[in-house]
Amino acid sequence: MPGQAEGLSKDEAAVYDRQIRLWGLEAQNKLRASSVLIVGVTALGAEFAKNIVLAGLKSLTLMDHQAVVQQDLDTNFLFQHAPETLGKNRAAAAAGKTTSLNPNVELNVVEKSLETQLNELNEVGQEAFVRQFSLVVLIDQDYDLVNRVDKLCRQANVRFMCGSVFGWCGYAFFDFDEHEFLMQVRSAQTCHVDVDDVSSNSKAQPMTTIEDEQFVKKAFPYPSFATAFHTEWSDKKLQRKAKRIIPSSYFAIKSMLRAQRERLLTDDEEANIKILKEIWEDEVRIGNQKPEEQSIQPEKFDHLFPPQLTPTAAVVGGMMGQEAIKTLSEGKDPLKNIFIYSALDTTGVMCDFPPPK
Amino acid sequence: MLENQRLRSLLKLLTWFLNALDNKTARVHVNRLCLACRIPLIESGSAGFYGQVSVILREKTECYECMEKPKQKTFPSCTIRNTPSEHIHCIVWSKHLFNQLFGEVDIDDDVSPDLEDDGAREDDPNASSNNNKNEQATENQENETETPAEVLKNGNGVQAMETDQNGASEEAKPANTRLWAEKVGYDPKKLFDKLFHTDINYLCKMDHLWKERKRPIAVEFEDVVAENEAPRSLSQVFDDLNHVWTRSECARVFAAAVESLRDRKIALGEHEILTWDKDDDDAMRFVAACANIRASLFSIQPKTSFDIKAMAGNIIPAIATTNAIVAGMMVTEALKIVDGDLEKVKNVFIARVPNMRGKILSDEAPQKPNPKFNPSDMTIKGLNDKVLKGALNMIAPDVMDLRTSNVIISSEEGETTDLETKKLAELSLGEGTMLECDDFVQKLTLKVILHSSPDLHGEDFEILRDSEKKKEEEETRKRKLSESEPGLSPPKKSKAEETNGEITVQKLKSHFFQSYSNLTFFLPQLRTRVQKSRMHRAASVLSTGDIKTQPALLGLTGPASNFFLCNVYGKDIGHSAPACHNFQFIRSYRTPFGASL
Amino acid sequence: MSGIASARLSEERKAWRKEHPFGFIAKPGKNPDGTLNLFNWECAIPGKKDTIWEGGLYKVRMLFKDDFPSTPPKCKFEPPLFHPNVYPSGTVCLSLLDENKDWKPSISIKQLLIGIQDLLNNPNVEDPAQAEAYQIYCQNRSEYEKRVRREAQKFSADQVQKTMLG
Repeated sequence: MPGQAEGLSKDEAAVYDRQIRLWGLEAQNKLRASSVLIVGVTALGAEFAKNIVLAGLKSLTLMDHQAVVQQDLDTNFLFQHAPETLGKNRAAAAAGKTTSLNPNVELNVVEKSLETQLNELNEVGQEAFVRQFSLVVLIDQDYDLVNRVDKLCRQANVRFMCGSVFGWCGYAFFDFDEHEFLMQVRSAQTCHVDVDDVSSNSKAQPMTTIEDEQFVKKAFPYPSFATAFHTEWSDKKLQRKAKRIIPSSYFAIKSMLRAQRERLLTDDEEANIKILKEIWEDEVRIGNQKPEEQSIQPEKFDHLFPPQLTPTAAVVGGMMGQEAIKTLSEGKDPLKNIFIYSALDTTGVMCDFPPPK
Repeated sequence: MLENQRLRSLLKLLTWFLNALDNKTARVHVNRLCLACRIPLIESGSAGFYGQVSVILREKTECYECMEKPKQKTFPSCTIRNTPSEHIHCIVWSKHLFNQLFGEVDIDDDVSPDLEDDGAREDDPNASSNNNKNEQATENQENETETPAEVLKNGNGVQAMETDQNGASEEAKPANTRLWAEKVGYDPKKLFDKLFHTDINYLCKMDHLWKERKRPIAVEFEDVVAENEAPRSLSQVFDDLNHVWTRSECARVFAAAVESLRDRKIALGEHEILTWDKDDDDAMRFVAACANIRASLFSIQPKTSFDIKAMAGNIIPAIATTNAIVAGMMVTEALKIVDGDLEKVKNVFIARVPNMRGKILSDEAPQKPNPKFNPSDMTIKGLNDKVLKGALNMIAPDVMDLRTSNVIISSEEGETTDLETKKLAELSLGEGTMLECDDFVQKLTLKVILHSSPDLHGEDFEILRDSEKKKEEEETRKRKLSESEPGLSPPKKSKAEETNGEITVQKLKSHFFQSYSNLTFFLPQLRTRVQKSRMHRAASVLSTGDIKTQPALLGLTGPASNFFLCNVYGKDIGHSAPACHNFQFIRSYRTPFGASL
Repeated sequence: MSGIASARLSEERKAWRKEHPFGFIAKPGKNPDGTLNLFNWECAIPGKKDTIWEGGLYKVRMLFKDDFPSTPPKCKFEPPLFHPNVYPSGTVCLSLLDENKDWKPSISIKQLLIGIQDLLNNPNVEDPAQAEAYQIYCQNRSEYEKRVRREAQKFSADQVQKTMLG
């Protein structure tokens, strides 16, 4: 298996040297065979694109239907900072710098909205569309579209990821349902995987030794986007847990998503904040927690609106990049399933929702 | 440096100092600078998937030098010189050898004992006219109370001559290996035979070293090269980083590297030396070849040159994602400083897996699981089976009470069975007891702190994760609610200072701030008026080696303030480096103070 | 209790359990309350094959101080052994066990026990510790050997093993 350079050119070997030392040649080759679709070239999109293109892919497709506005210039380093950039399609405007980051990666630009694209196709066609990619990533997209595409990807067995940065807070969601990772074998007798149910779905594979540790390839289920964000916290078994495991930042994110889903947001930021507050109080209650005990309070809700804070985009984009690399290279220790970062209370938390029994 | 008054006054204007360095010396330098000028320092580090951020505030937090740092691994010199048992010992040996032959000579690191002055082999019938000296040397060694191994340890045989019983003293000549090599013109065959044949035979004579160890097997150059019947071309071997070179190939690489290094050294001139660098092909090949040859003599598995490079060069792999996360975390901490929220700063690190509370960006020290139960009810067996094996996933725990050093649970069958039914209270184990639980079967050691609760009964228990931290956070939360809103508190500087600061900053702006005076870039991301105005006046320095976090940080903070990018120790910014930090499109700034900072 | 000492002793214990020389026994002794005491080990050393000590398994108690491994353990034969370098109290006189002589912190318990085993059939006449064995050894070698063989029988390996390992 570890062959002579395995098709890596001398330049690639030199450029990827450091990361190969981290994750190995085999992983690098899997990355080199992957195609990724990014929908939404925002500040977060830029961070993620940079991370994934530097890792080395076969191809990267940037898809966006929107035009560059001033606020984009302020937050997105993939755009040429010149007045000429204003008005250009976001994906097209980012292409040049993205390629310069890693010319080894084939770059495609689609100046269209994903929604429009999918609506032009029938069901079979839609599945075929996403199947072109090893990983589909939706960034700062509308709730309904995210939900729809997640379902589609699960159906087509394509890896899916989405993320959003709302001002100072952001989240990333991972759905690698039934895709394989390397899980560490706990002892000779047991093959401890994860608290989640693996009984029917686990396929034990021959051991792959990494240094002194024993690893086995395993796939396990990830919940869908809709399921993940709609945990029944009122369930008796979850009531007590809810108090412990839901971070404050979750409520901020969930509220924004719900506001999107229920189409309650307008251009009036002040009105939006009011709406958000109401939803938030409801969500906190559903999560069996008390509003006054939250570390992120409604007074700070103006921080949840654009522009996107660059460090938050960097952190969320970094985690998304890291997990994308892990899943594409079938690596170790995948994180499940929602990552939430808040620059307001400086927390970065993994939420495994709905919580495993 | 600090004497430079202008520099000092510049530094005093800074709001913060961001570190994205890659070496300890520079970090210590900057640490002292910031402490002296009372500038908040945001330190960072990234390696592979791990990364961390620490905020250093004079008199409020630990400074960089106070922080506990992992100790560098060193090996006993006799292991390196005489009895290597792992490949890394051979690599270290080879690097020392490089210095002895081509670089800076160091007595303590001499790995090739000098047996005679003139380099003649001890079995060479044509020993030179320096025979007298040789005899004296041998005689001294026999009279010496030191064993030959100790002689070796102390440097080389020649040094022993210093304490010659006859009073005749010879100056220690630590450069003898070097002199000899130069005398024989760095003939690769001669070098090879001395290092891997003569010296090895010498070692073999020291019986007591090999009582419980396998003797090394000496080899000669000609024989080793002949081991390979159908040799590949050298350039094929050089390019093959991912397969282990055969010993014969190693010998040929050794020869080629030696000749190349010799020629380079000669070209440099009389008193010039070469410095080992992992990115210097000849030097790297020399070490790889030597290490593998030596390993083969001691029956140690060889390694690929890819792996040897990592070990010899201490390569710490770096990736863009970790750097992005670290950079983001640094700037978030910096924002707290701008806000005047110095109490809120945290030291954060990236964990590989989330802790028990889901935190993946953790500001807590690594997990101490704290089981809570009723010590009058809970038995040793209960602790073992339900808590350690059940909840904490241990397989064969050996448990020691850290206070008394007594073992209360032994995974060895039968040893502690009569303790099983005892209640913990009977053994004086209760609130605050610290247990060290080491798993005999898997690599797992846990420090467990016991908590008692009269409310729990029988063998019921709860695992509290970081119970102290929880209390702390409760307090902080309550404090936050009663605090006045940050941002509305008045700025701390006096009016005079403000004006002063602003003027100077303006001046500097005009000097250094080329066309990137685009503060509007970042300001809209800040929400309060006060934050914005502070940021407007904030001046910060990003110090960097050739490190990767730099571009991420530049992208984040560069436009955010009057921003000075400086080199510490004169390393070039943005020089050609692996893809993960090739950010040419982000402008970089240089202070005129450059490396003198 | 010294953290360094207990950490090192834990390590030694673990290393011994994973691998130790055949025929030797070494384990922490029991405290009155039933817990194991890492600073007080009950060991047993077999007589080497083809020597007059063969067949015997000789119990030794190893007592460690708080500053171990800066100082070596005190090794005591229980009951005291008939040997020129063993004090009437049972304490072993060996340069390896002397912090002013050959003791080094890097020496392991394994090495100590092997060293003591070595000493059995190689007494050091320069350093006598008990008059009886020393004199008989010097004056009447065949009587000495008879005595030793008697000891070997007295402390027969099978019996001693049974009592120590249960």
